[in-house]
Amino acid sequence: MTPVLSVRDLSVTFDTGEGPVQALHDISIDVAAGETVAVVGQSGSGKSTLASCVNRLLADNGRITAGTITLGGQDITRAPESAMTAIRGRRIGLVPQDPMTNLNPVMTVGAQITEALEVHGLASGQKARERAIDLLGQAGIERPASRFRQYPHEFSGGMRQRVLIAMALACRPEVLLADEPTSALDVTVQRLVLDQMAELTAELGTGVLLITHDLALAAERADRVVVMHRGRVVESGDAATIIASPQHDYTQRLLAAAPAMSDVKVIPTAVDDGSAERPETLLEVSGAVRRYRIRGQREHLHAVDGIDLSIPKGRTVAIVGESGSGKSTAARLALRLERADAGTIRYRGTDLASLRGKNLLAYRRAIQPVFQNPYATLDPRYTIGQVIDEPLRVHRIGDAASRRKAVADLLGRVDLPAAYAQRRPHELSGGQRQRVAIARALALDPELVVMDEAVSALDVLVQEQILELMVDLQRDQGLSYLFISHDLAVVHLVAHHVYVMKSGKIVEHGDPDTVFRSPQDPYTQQLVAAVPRPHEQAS
Amino acid sequence: MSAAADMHGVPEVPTTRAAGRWAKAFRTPSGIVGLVLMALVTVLALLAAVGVGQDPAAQDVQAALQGPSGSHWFGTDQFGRDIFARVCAGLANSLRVALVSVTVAAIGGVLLGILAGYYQGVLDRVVGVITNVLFAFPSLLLALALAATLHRSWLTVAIAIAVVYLPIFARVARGPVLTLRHAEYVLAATAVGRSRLSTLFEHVLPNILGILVVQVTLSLSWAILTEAALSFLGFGTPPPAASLGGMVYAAQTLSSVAPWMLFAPGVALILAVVGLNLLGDGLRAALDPRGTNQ
Repeated sequence: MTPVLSVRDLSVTFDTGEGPVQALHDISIDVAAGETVAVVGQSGSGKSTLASCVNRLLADNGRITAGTITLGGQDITRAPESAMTAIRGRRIGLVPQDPMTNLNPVMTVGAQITEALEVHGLASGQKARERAIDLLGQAGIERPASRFRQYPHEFSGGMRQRVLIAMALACRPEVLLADEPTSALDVTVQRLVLDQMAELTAELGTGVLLITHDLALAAERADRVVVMHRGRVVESGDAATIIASPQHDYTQRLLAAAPAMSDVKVIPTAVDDGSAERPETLLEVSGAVRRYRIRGQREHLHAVDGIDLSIPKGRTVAIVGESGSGKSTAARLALRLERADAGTIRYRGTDLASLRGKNLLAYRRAIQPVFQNPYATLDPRYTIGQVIDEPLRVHRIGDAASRRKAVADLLGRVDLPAAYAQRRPHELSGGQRQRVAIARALALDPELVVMDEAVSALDVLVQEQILELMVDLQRDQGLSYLFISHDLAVVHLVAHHVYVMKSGKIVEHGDPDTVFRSPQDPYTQQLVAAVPRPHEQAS
Repeated sequence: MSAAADMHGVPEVPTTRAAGRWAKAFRTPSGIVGLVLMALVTVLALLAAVGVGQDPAAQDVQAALQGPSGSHWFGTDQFGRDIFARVCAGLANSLRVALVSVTVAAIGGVLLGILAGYYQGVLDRVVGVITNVLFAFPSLLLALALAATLHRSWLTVAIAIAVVYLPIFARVARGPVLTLRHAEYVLAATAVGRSRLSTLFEHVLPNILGILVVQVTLSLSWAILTEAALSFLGFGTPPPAASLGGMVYAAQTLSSVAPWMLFAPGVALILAVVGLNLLGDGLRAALDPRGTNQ
């Protein structure tokens, strides 16, 4: 079968301030009609550069130095911009990563799809409208005729991504480029969107180039998988074969690091100090409610709607849920960055609402956060040393010399060289920044660390290192964690107890093995079913 | 480089020190031209301020309305005063008014803006109403009304201009604070135990300084123009003190007889304003994080 898209020995170089950097080395990939090929790699592996090459939308400082890109027999490596304008959208469809920013907010959804048809002269007027409504329906949008006239803000993230898929497939392209199409979506939505995309492309016989960081997802969705590392293809082949017997060392590491539901746990075995049957409770939340006023609406939004949970000393308690479930609000309540509107939160028996001045400062010392976004968690103007030193300075601990030593110690505990104290956040990678955030959280010797999606933004290998670090600290210092995540597999790895949250309420809780293996609540069942499982398909 | 960075494939980024960023502002063409122009203007103004050269107020009726010559570089006016000396003194006056007014406006406006943006609530609403009311007046008209009611001196002119520019600074400062107050590092500072006020000054304010610096340079040039306009209309710096706007006013009736009287203050005004704008441009380019890959 002749491939619709064929990339041969492609090399790309970027001219940067520090000289040329080669981003792609001799990449060769074929995509046949109706076939899905997944390109898997971590951030910086060059997978997005590859996607922009195929679309010929490389950044201005990038050059294709060798190789060819052939689309349906036509060499488009050096096609002029005018020819590419006719190809993009018409013969190569693109599903971008972020559904929130890729639709024009002031145009109706329908107008944006008809635009794609009209630009390429495939249909116009009433015909284009009918075709667009058909497409919306096929992409899984209910009542497409009335949805057609709505604006992007009236659609949820998953809906928007379906609109983008409908748009990308509007002109029946030969190739669909899907660049991390569902990374910004919740798992249950991810499943629906990918199902819909697979159905549509199979029907149209479109070749799909699926770019993703998620090996499990790639294995589940693709016919063939190409693993990229540092601009090179390290392994490629049949999806099931690669999962079952990865040949390259890097693929093996990726597979090992990817948390899967069946994995062995990394947490220390439940109770190792036999004497304490039930460890003392650090934090006790009962009936906590947090309401937000929504502009222009009379009803309040109950972000957290009467939850009960308790965190025992030395344990990891997890809250899982999708975006909007209220789990981050619960974290902020525990950190007392916000106050509960009703209910109580007690720390060692003391109601947080009563804390003022000195007592509040003492509480802050005992509980520390690590947030989600490694790029926003450190003040860009502070050096790493100042970041880690800040809690010590605020609490007036030690003098300048002893604090300098403490900073070096803390950097050591998170496996960063002491010399990093002089650097600024932008000089560090995402994983390193997250380590710094952990070091800052540890500076005050807290009893409880609140990890709000703290590993979600990290590549699997880095994520694995951070999780190991967490567990080591727990074993050595008896640290407790409130671990907030949308990722069931990760939670399964580290949590002693898990709470499942939906719409501000806790729908189910218990030991993670029990909850995930035989979920009782329909929502939990749905969540568990949506997790991509490479192993099952492989076997 | 640690293992984590290694796997990430993140290249080692060269350290950009704060000093390097400022130096970069003066490597862009507009930054260099702006700096040179402002250096020239400042030197001329300083010369006048310390009294070097001819007395700008000394009249010599014999020498009235002379064209440019060796003894009077830019000629003389209708009272025989040396125009070069008066232009220098006028520049000194413009800069003095601009510096005082923008300093007052920037400190007051930024404080109001960041407090309102950070604490929200009643304070934000009050500040919002005040700025909206002040914005509703055309700025020159507002300055004119203030300058006309106050006792006339260069200081009252500066205060009038400060009142006009204060709400602009409040607006400019408030916007970025609204997003920064939810930044994770600001939350982290609160969670560490820093008080809200100290977080505002330690984490929020330093991160909006770049925007404010650019705003200050641009406001200086507007302030110079506003002062010139007020003086031109007769509500600015009172004569006989030299002011560029006043000189342009005096020149307009005599422009057919003595065009040099119009030329010198006009050029001085243009140089000062263009210089400050270019300088602001250079700073903006240097402080824009997206400009780093160029």
